[in-house]
Amino acid sequence: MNDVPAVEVKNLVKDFKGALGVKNVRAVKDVSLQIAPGEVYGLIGPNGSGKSTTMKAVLGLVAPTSGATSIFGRNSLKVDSRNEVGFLPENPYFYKHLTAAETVRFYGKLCGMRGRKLKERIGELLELVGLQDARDRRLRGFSKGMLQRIGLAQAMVQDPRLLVLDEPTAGVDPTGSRQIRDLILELKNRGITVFLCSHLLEQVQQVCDRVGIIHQGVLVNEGRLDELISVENRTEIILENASENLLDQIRSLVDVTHQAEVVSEGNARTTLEDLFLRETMSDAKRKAVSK
Amino acid sequence: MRNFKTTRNLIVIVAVLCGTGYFRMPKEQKFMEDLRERKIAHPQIDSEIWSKMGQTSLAGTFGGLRSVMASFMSIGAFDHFENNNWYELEKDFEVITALDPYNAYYWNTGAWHLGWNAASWARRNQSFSPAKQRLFEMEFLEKGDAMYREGLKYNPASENLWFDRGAMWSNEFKRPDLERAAEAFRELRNSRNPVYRRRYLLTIARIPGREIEAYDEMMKLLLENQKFHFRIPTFRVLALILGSNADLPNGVLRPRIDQVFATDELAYLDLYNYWIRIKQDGYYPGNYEMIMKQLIDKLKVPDSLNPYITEPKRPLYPSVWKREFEKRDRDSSAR
Amino acid sequence: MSRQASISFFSLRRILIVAQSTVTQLVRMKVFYFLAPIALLFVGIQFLDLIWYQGAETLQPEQELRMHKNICLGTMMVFSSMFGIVATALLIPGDIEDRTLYTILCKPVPRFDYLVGKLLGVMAVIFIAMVVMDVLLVATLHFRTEEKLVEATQYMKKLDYPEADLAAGRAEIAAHGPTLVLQYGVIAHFLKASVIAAVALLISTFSTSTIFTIATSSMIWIIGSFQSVAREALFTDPISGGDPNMAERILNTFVSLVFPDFKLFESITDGAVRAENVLQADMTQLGGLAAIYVGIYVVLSWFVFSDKEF
Repeated sequence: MNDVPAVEVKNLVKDFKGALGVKNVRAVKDVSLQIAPGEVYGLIGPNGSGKSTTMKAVLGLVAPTSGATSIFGRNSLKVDSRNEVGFLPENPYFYKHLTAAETVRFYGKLCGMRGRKLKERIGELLELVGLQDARDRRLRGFSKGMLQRIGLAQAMVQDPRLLVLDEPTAGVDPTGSRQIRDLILELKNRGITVFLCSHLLEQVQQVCDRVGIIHQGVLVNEGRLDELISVENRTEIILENASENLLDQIRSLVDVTHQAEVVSEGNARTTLEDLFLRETMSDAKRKAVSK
Repeated sequence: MRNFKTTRNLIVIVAVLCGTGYFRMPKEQKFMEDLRERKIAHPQIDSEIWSKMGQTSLAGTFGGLRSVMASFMSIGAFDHFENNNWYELEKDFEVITALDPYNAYYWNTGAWHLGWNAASWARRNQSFSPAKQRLFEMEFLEKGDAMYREGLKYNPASENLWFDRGAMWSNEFKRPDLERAAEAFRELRNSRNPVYRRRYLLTIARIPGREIEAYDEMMKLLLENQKFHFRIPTFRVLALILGSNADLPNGVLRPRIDQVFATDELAYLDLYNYWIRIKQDGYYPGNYEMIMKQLIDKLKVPDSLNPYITEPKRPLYPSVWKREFEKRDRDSSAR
Repeated sequence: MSRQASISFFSLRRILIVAQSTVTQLVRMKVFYFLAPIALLFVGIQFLDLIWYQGAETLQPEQELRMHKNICLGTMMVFSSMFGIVATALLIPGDIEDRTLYTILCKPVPRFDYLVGKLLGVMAVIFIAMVVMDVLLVATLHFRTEEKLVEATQYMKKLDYPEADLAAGRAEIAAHGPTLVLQYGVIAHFLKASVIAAVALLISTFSTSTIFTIATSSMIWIIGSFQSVAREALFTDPISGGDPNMAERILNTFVSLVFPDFKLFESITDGAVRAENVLQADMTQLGGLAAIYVGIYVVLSWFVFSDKEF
């Protein structure tokens, strides 16, 4: 079972016909990728690069022109494959007339859940995504971030082994983004496979194990994140409370070797996100988030 | 691909519908024929009627609102009546009755407007010459009659249609055609409504040569419910007059004056008023003269109440009877 | 729940879940508020009298009751059919536009179950509305019938009707009141609305806009009332060689085969209003026909929807 990839895309080609059969668009050109169980895989690329189409093909929402996609060995076009997957679409909308709890209940029932188990699961998920106070509020009154969170809750309702997230933090404030990021990491720790699309590169960098870069329908690069972004011949050392004397000694050592050189030096930077959080959150929350 | 798919889908849809329709059609046709035969489904609308329909009634037909459209149109047609637009009214009722032919009310209303209201309007229209008045009056009477007869084809059990047709042709203020009236009232001889049942008698009693038949009819009604029918003065008199017909076979029951009337005075009151019936409505006279003269002698009726001396102009009431008799007695005493 | 178990093509439970969600959606759109003006109408027509023209001798209580039933049932028919079209036309395109459909179809929900669930939800709302309207109809008709019975009884007693005739006269009037046959008329309207909703479902699976779906379904509704004319032209006109009306025959054939016959449903209701002898066997036949229509349209809808891409 562990040998079966969570997601497998084999030579996927997807064409969309233009009006009157002319100006066909090949949205995905012979893309192949595999996502191992328990991995967090990020598919990144500019707008219109074929990310969403690839994702939809994996989910069975579009049929490949050629090639195949599967989820845990099951053909994506078969309904069976959806037992294992939860999907959060980009800009998700749900039935606005339902409350948060009713929404999760609806999707839970569709997955075959019922009774007490479903009831408990609803409470658990709403607490996980931080919507327990809004459980009886209709989605009509939800903010973008809240909708995103309820989307996550419904995606996880049947405890799927694979989560597909399309732009999970798009339009969400930094606090919400951090929470979603932390949630993804927690899911990863639980062994859940996550396949996400985003063009917020910094966030992809924070959570993904492997990344694929797609451009104009072609998967131009793919691999482990740290391998992809490391600059091979450069080393980074960050020092705290280093004296000026120590720094001079290090510079001298570099000069002596004649092989290496100091490319740049200066104060290490925090992130704008950390600064934002520091300024906007309470002490208690800050401590919890910064972990 | 999308256009190919759409075309393919449409072809498949049409093909499946045609295929299933091929098996479905004969069953539906049979079902519809059965419903038409049992008068549950309306008959098809004639092509001539289609052309007369306005947009609203046409839309109602297509939307399955035939009966509802007929209801609303019949209310709207009242405007034509108020404005004396008889031909427009006729056209409307052709459509209304086509929309809901199994509703006797619409046939009845249409015939009433044409045969009664339109005919009366024509007769009284001072802008017409007398000849034209008669011509139009007859035209509308015939149109009304045609509507009754057509309505009765669809609704043969409608007593109101039979009754109103008969009433139109027996109305002494119109152009009575008692044969046609009798033809209509004949169908009501076995009606539950005793008022309807006796109209046949009251009609054939006005047709010369049908006195024997009238007698038989009268006896049948008397045997059913004498008490009810004897409330009608004309009926009481007819019992006497028809029973006095010399051409009746031997052995039949011939009601006597003391069997029909409680007193001679009551008999005279009814018989006096029957005079007008004979003169104006053509009722059977029989032995009326003999019976009246006997009563005049017996009761010593004053000249003012003797129809053979003073022509009756209005009905005779007991109060007038009493007053004339007192006047006669005073005059006699004075002399 | 076994994750490895194969998902069945058809699951009544899943269908009912989608149906229940659809009912909730429509109810929370406040569709039942329209029942208020309808209630006013049903009560108001109590006071609509026929124009008497010859006095009590031509008392026509049956006619007044028929008019009452005609107006009420006509209202029910218009509402149920229009609602069937509009509600169904809004649902699937609405789900697609809102992308709610993505999240549903990404759950183990076969598209067939989704379609049937949506249709069932609309039919459930129509059914509930018709039950409410039927209760109103029966109540108002009952009061009016009782009123007419009293008037007619007084008149018949005045004319010394024998007991048997009195009873028969009352029975004739009561037959135009709230009877089982009238309910057949209501059921026929519901069945018709169900078929129309199924038509709208089919159109919405390949339509690109709600307005197109509503307009096309409405046209089919109208043509369906006319279909029997085309069909009867086929069954009554014999084919002869060199028929100059070949174009007409082709058109009649096409209309008869492709479009549903709504006249059958309307005829049952008309017969019920006139208190004709509509039998249970007629209703069984009509119900079977409605089931065939709905089944065909649902299967065709699934055929189109099954490989639709989003």
